[in-house]
Amino acid sequence: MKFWQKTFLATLALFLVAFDVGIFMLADMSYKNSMQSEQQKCLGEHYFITSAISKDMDAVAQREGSYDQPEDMEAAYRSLCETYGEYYISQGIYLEVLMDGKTLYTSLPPYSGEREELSVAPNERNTIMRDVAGSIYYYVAGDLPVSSGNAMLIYAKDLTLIVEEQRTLEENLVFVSILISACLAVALYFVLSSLSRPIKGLSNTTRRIAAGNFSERVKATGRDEFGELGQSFNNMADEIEEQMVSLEKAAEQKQQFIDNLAHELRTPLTTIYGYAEYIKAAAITEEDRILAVDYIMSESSRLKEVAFKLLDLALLKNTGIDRNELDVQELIEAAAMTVYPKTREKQIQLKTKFVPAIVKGDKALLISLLVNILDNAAKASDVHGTIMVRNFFVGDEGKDIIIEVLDNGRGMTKEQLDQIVLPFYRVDKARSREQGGAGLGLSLCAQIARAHNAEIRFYSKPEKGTVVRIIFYDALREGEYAPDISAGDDDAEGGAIYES
Amino acid sequence: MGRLPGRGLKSMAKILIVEDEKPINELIHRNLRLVGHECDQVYDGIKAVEVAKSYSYDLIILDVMLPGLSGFEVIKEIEGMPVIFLTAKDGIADRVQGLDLGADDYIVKPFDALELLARVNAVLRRTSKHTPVFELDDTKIDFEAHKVYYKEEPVELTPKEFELLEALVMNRNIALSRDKLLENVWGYDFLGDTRTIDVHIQKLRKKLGWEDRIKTVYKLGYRLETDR
Repeated sequence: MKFWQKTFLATLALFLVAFDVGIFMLADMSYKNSMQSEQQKCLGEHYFITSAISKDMDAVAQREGSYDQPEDMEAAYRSLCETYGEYYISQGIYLEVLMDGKTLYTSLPPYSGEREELSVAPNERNTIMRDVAGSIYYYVAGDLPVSSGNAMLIYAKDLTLIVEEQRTLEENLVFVSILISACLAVALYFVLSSLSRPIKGLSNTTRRIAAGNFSERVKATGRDEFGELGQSFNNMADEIEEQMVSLEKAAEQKQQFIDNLAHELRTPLTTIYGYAEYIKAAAITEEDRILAVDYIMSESSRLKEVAFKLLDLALLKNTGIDRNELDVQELIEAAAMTVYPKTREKQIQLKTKFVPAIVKGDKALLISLLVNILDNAAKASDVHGTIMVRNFFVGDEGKDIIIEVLDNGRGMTKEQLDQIVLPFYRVDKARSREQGGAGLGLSLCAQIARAHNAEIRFYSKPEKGTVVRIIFYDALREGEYAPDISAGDDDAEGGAIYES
Repeated sequence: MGRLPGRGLKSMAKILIVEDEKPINELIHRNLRLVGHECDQVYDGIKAVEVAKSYSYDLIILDVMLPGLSGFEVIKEIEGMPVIFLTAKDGIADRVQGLDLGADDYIVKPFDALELLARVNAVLRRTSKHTPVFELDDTKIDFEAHKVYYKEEPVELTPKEFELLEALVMNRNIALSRDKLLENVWGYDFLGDTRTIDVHIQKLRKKLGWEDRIKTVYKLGYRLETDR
């Protein structure tokens, strides 16, 4: 059974019990009160009548002096009682007078049962409620003090009305109770079911999210606990969705990496094995043999490069780096020297511009990083192109150092930019393979940068050129320093110019 | 070279090689040429579709990972020509996808030259319409009809001799080890020794006048050499 149904039934049951018990107790108490006060009244009346009759009877006894016959006194008494009797009948009070065992007078309703009230102890009175022919009477029986014998006065009052009133009240109460219960049941049902709607909503949404639809959310209105719960739930769902998305992305990237790696390994292996087999078993010329051997050697080199670069990537992730103080100018000049043969080949002009700066890190790694970037710039440039390398300070306190490499070569589109640091990605597959690249260079650079608390940013316009910035953060701070790509209009000042 | 020139060798098949890695493309080309096939070479998907639409090849060897269109896309563009996929990916999903798209076979890199040749031959045999006839010096062989002629006269060959001959011709210019020949011609269950091969080779040399054609390759086995 559902929670709100349980609540509903429990509340309803509790109410019914409490209400009914309450009102019936009240009704009962009120009845007892009325009854009691009536009975008190009856007792009072009985007492009054007793003394009145008693006095009158004594008066009658004395007045008549001596009666000729005792029956005359009896008759006189009788007539006295009749007077009283008649009077009180109109009040709904019935009397009976007994004298010496004989019934002097009675207006009591006929009753043939046992009459226990008649055995009265002296100075005491008996009372009893009795149902006689459909009506309820209250009997009071007591001594009637007369000078001439033992007399008893029995008083009976018709209290049926009170009892009936009580019964009517009870009936009304039952009716009211049922009515109220019904209304309560209906109202409670609606209230509870509407209150529990957010819970149902929550439970449905939870189910949908669990089934894989991570963008579902709950409507969180209101400031009560449900509203709060809804908010918290939505926040949690946001987190989960984010995690799911990034996990999916990571898994995809991992798969891509593996696929690319498989390709990069299998391809040279195929060539090496294939040509070795060819040399061994095929009937070939000396020329063929030389070609085959050349292929074996170049593919072995390629395999070696891929393997070593991967190793470097793995090592960088797991081990720390040296933290020496290095002069930026020295680093750039060393890198430029390494790249010089390539730039000379294409008659590319390599310009530099320095401000004195120190970075902390590993000399070999940083030079390697710069060589890689310069190499890419050279590859992207046409004959007679220009590459500009410089460094400068930025940041709030001017402490972040940027090394910038700018070329006016081929440039890249946004899609290409998004992917260039991914392992094995090559912008132009065919050409890069000839030039010996496996596509791991930039992913390695990104790792080197990360290990140095630095960031590499790429900006490019197709056909215009590319700017690569390596930002060495003094502290971990975010900042956007987007350059204006208009290549070639920087004049070298105060730095070596490498002319082709 | 001191050999008798061969008489009008008919090329076995015209094959298109689509593979962007130049060394591998060249490797496949050379192997196929050794056994007498004629090849065209392209290095990207778009060129492949262009060329395939303008000539009806007997077989296309198609790499899956290509610049431009992928191998799977290329096969959709060409109609009716048998295709063998070549790839570095070994997943079941890729194999199934390849075969679903209508490829006749699927080879994973790195591959064995003999395996490649065997699969190429298998596909060609299934799909080719012309009957391969092989001529070398004074010998003519009709594989379909199971007939061999030396100097225009029919030659009697035992079944094993014929199968051995077939293996040599199909893999000509490539050295075949004795073990491999035993395996292919006599089967795995053969309990004899490799001298059986030597005897059969001698017989073939004699019957077909191929003493200078079937070469004994030091440490490797036997090789049927033709002019190329």
